[in-house]
Amino acid sequence: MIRAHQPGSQPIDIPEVIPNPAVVPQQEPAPKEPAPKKPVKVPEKVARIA
Amino acid sequence: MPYGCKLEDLLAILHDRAPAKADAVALQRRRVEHGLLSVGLKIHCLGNGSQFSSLVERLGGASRVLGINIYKHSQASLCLVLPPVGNARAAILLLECIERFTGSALFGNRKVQIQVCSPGRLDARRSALLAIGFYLGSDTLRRYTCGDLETTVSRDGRYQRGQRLVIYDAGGDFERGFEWWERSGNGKDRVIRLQLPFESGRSDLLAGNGSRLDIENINLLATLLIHAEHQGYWSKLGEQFEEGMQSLLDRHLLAGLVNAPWVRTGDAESADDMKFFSALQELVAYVFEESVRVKKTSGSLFSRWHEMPARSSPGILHEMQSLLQKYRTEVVRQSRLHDQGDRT
Repeated sequence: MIRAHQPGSQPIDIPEVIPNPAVVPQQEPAPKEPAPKKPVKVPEKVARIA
Repeated sequence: MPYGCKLEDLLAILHDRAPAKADAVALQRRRVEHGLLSVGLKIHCLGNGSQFSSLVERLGGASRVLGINIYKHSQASLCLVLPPVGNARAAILLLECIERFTGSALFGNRKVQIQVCSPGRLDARRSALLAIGFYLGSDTLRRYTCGDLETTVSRDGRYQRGQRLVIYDAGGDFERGFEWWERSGNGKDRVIRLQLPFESGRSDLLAGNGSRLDIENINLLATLLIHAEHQGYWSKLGEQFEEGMQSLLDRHLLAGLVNAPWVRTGDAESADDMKFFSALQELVAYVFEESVRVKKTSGSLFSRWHEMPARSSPGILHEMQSLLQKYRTEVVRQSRLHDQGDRT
């Protein structure tokens, strides 16, 4: 941080590094985990009434 | 440049804690992608460097790994010189392996300065374009003080590299064994040589606390500019890029910046550090001012910069991103066209 200060005025902190507003931050690719298995659909037994 | 270690030895050690990534680097280490240049890296550690102790010890000790180079950032406790790899992705993976091994961040770390090394020496004007392109395209905008670019060879009698963003190599080892693309006599066909066309020489960029994007951008910029200088496969694209950069700087009344000595060459006129530093400060001031403007406008009238009226400039930072994106896309597109042609 660079500190600019003139006598009689409030010190101003000037950052040394700022994000480039034109760059969309890249996200690191998340580790690929195997997709969870879909539950197997078993048809419900329907009781037959004779 | 004597490398601090052999890549095989380094990868064998890194494999203990980052097996998948170390294997990936081993597979890709010689692979050149789309005819882009190989990538070398130097890691300058501004802290006490204790996070590297175990790695350095296993590579053979400080005197063997670090002591062979006199070169480092003036405030660095150590500089680890890594052997070059064939592409930017492998270089990034290699750094990620080291991060995993040391348990300490390398990207975006204020205590770590990354130097990206590209084969071939650029002339003074192209070195200026490399430095300016890197600065404008980076994901962080930096302010510099004079000492930030001071190295152990800035002032010594033999090398005299000055304080610069771009510095030439100091001779020594040079790894030529990477593919170099050029065009055949008819200008259409691609010829792939198994060696770089230069026996030595590099243009390095002190990226500071760099990022993955910085490494990719520097690799693209250096490729376009080196190919333009050495009549490589991408020379026409490189010349177009130079024109694009020149007109971008013209539009923002910054064209005069390229005349400053962005690299210290053998020419005595390039020796003035302050001429370079003034040009860098002008660029930094322009860009910081613009970043404030972009922040203000992005939240108000136009939610996205490309929605602005056609006659209004989106600003130098967005224009630089567009330029990089355009040439990255074009390199990949043309290289894939050739790959498809080769298969049919």
